[in-house]
Amino acid sequence: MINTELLIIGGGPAGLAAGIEAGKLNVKTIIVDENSLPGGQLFKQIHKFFGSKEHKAGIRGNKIGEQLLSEVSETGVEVYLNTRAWGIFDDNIVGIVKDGKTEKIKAKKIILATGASENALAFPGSTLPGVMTAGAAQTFINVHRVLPGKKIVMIGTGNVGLITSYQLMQAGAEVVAIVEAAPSVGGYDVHANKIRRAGVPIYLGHTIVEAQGNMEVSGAILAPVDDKFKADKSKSFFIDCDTICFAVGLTPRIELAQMANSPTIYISALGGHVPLHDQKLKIADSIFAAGDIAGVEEASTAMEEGRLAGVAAAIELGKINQVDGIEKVNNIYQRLAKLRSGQFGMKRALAKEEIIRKELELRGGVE
Amino acid sequence: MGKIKYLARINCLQPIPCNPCETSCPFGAIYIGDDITNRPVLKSNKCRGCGICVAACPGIAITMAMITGEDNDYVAIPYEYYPMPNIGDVVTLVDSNGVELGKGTVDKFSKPNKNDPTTLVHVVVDCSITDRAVGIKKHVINDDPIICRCEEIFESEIVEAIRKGDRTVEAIKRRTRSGMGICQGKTCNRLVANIIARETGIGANEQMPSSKRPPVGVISIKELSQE
Amino acid sequence: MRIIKHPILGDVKEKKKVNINVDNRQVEALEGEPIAAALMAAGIRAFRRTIKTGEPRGVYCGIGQCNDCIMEVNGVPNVRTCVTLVEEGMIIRTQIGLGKSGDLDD
Repeated sequence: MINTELLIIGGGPAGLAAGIEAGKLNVKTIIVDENSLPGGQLFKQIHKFFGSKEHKAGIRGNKIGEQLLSEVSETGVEVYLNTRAWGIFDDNIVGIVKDGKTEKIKAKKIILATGASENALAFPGSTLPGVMTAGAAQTFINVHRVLPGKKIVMIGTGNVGLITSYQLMQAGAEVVAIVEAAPSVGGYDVHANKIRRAGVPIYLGHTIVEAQGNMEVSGAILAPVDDKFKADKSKSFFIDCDTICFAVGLTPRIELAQMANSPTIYISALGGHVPLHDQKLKIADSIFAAGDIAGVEEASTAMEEGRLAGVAAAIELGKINQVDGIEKVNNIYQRLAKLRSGQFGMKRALAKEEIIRKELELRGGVE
Repeated sequence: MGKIKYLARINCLQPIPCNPCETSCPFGAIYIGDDITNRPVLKSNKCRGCGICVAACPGIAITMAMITGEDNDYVAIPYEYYPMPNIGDVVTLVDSNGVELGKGTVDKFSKPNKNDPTTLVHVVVDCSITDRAVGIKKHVINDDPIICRCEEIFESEIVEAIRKGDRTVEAIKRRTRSGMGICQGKTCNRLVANIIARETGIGANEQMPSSKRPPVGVISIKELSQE
Repeated sequence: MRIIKHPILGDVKEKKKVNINVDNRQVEALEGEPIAAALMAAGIRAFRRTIKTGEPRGVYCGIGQCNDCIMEVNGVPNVRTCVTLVEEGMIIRTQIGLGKSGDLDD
């Protein structure tokens, strides 16, 4: 059995940021990540982030990833790579598989930073090779430097769909269509306009009804949708393509939170079922959740939540006095509030308030 | 009898003022004459089965057939839709009114006139339908997609489970195995929740997530047993 | 197809080449890349056939979560090719159904 003060599950933006804060406060910390490289999905995000300077705005995701990694190594936090946390048990014991063997880690505090998984669509042909998530395409072009195909149809106009389309074109692919069932683009206009300026048609009020091909994708059938989002197949048409990407949202990865018996709540603005948490992201006794697991947002918010959980765990471990701790926490709240402001952020701010309110109700209203 | 070859077959039924079949034929095998409303007549001895007239006909009213004298004959049918069938695909042959005659297997494709995009699909058919087989039924979209990629559970199976009374992702998982495969429901749980919502009106927000137990993710028994 | 030139990431640096064998065909891979990337660069996208319907599958999530890209690697079935790095002389086979263990020679 490995003993540690803090175990962080997931080495993406939230987990690394949590590790950095905890490490700086001399918390003995282990981060486990199932991949061979930490950084989560930051390294495929080669675009500049929004926000302000304190949120590392204007810096590309992959560069932020590099910064986080070097900060982690400076703090002396241990990072176990190729390590899968496969279960969470009583007494804060977590089962991991590392180097082909099972081990147990007993931690005084645990932060779950498991992220989110990409949503799927199902239609005839949706399992053909060449149909993949937008994230898969992004990984192949920006990390592995291989094109998944030459002619791409992107389904979904949230920021992931728009940004991935732009990056596919930067990588040399042709995006032949972007398809959106809603009557308007889901993501930021600046991202959509980059795509429009490149001459890519955005089919609003349309959906994909079939992927065609024998051994792999050789085309897509699109159709307009009615006001109930049902496809009108009598108006369907063919688009020549070899790759179809799904950018239709993300779902928080809450399995470990469920195993820790955290109650969940369904919040559409945050991607689905999320664990209830208090103001310091605590979801159960000694267990915190940070980043997309606590509601799908952006990498910048995930990093702030990671910091919050890292500091909160350090306070509970007595590694920082209450006054300094609360100051740190308040600073993070302010930065988070900025990221959750305005027309786009407000929904998420309200959703987060709802989570905290529900959690408080469940505890009987005791602060 | 000469050697076995394709011959044009003309299905032009009305006195339409039209004669590209006659003028396009390089061998003078089709006769219409000065009155272009005359219906075309094929001179079988001059037809070489080149297919030029097939591509030329504005009415898609000419096909070709090769009578082998064996059990299977060949027909060549102009097809102008996507998706094109693939070689080896089994297609349904129809008569000139669209009535289904039976199945055939796609043998090859040809473009008789390189300046015209019309493609001919060559299909092996049973000799009993050769005479009437002048069309290929258009590809119809199959409406039953796979929902659970791992266990290969189709949408119809999910809908059937809901008809039998299942109302949760968990119940459908137990009945159909959707979500019990190697990815543990990461991809299909949301899709199943959406189908429940569509079929029953119970929104995704009113549904519970399916239960989760260790191990999260794929671990071999060997890894689990080595401590 | 490999992305050699890139307006943001710059040109690909020279990498050591690694030879892998895919269904008895020699495929050139680059050191440090996952099997799936090497296959995709070589134009191979169908990695396996499923057990029930026999349909082809390939890369879907690309980050080791969905297990759709599994193949037989050095005689071991169900290897996630999107997160397993290439090694010199690796023998990779299209997985049919649940795949077969061992017996590389048959």
